[in-house]
Amino acid sequence: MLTIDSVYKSLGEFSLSNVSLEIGDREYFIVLGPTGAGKTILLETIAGIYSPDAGRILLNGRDITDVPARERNIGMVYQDYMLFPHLTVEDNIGFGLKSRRADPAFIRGKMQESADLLNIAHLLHRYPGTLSGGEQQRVALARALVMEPEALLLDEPLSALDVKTRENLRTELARIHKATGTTIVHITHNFEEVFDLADRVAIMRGGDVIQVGAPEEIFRRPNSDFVAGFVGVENLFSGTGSSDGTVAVGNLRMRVENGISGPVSVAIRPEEIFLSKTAPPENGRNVFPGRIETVRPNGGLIRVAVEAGIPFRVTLTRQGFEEADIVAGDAVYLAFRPSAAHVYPSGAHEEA
Amino acid sequence: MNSVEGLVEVKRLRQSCRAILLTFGTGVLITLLLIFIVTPILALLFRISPDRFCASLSDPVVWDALVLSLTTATISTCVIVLLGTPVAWINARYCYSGREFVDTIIDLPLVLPPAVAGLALLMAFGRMGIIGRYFYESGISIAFTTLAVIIAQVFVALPFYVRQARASFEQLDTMYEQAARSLGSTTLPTFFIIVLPLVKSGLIAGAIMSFARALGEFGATIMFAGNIQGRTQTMPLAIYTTMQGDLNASITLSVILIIISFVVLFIVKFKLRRDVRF
Repeated sequence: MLTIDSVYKSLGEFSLSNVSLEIGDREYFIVLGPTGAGKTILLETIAGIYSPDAGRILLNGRDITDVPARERNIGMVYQDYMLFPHLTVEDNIGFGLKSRRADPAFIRGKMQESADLLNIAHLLHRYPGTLSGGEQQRVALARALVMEPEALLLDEPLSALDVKTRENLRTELARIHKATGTTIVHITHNFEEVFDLADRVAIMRGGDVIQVGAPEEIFRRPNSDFVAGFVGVENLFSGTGSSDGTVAVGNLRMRVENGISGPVSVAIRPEEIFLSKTAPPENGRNVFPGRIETVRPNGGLIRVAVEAGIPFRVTLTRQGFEEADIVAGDAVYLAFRPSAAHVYPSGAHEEA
Repeated sequence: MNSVEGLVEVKRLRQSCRAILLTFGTGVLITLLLIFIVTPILALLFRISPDRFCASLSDPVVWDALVLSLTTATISTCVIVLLGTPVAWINARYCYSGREFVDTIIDLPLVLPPAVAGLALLMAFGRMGIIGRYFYESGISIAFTTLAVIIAQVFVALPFYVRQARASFEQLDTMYEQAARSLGSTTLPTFFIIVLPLVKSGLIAGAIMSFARALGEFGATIMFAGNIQGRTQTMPLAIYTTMQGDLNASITLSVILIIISFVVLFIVKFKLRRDVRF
């Protein structure tokens, strides 16, 4: 268990303000946020490169706030790997255990184990400068994992790699996490990394953690305009909520999942909206008439803009699109379940 | 050809004329500069035949100066590396009040005229000097000994090493040290196993620059250590002394110094280029 308790840290333009997180044993935890959100400071504060201005950090019940980095038993994989260029892969991986004055036979055993885990046994005698980005990343992972850290920190581990290597490594990370059971904190600005890997996600902005939850939770129930925008919710409306579980947006009144009174935002994922030329049965759904504005193919998906008093964005699969049989200018009905319309108070987590 | 085309043609001609003149001018400038530097060196090399050069080598004045110079400059360089490396490291990595002051003081001998440095050393370590007098009372003279030669060389050559070493340490990404620490390494092993090998070439280049400066030291040495053959008469001093009598010895020593200078320059260039790889 890694506990970050009300941590403050200010470093010029980057800062952390009152960050609290509980990261469970064996959890794969992703911290997501745009550049400048304070993700890297958070990671470096956990690693012990900086000490917090206020707050505490606990690792498995031990207060490590004032413990020097080398005694924390926290592994770190840097964005640029930071492999020692003058040492072979083998010596890079063995560096930590040698620093601990481990028994040479033990070091050899651990080396073999981690080399097998990461499929780098054939690279042991090479120098880092001769390796590809993906190979360097594996070596950096092996170097950290061989120490059996109580927590492993990954700083944008996939962002420097080309698409194919990134896919492979993402699968690898999931496999390594499963095999070792190490608690992992992974920071990234790319939402796509979340679904395959994370047990839970924290969204950061401007030094604050603004939402924590399972990926699906964040994806479907963002708690603010910022999170909604970050996870790709394209239908974001301001409206007025009533206690009867409806929200008035423009001249539409829609039934929503969680009724809140007063000024609210409504977030509806574009793929949760159904389109049809004939009026569909309501069955408790929201059904509104509208007109197709544009139809735009986007890879395997079709993105449709519908004007229904307020502008909606709808994403259809190619099959769904063919079934709906629509072109721009058609009059259509759009339908979505109240559970697809997620509501939160207006201005939640906005910067002052 | 109509007049517009003619105008364009003239303009183009003018432009290419200007380009040719510029190239030519630059070429002349560079050639003059090279001649200015190379001519005196060649004049010196042509002034002595290989036979006379070899004969002069066995001249005790030449031989003594050569041995003394190489010994003292080597010792000085070792002292400089031992003293200068920790200082350069601390100044590169740690912020403390007075750091820039320390840096400026270390640089001072760079701009101080060597004769002034020599006189200052004499005032400090001479028989009557503010430190030297206590040594003299306990029977130790520093001025006008081989030790004084080394002190003078360390004094003037130290900044060459410290500046280069500090720059090399500063160029090294601190993340390597952070990575080493997060792997459980303490300060000294991190320094010797990670940092030192990564800045090695820069440090060697700095040491060689210091060695060259120590080897060429003249002003401070003659003021503080004197000009005693076999004890304090280094090569530059011997060149100055023999110039009036035995010109061949003077030129032989000069040629040796030129050769050493060339070797030093090549090694430094090569070493500094190697560091860039990391």
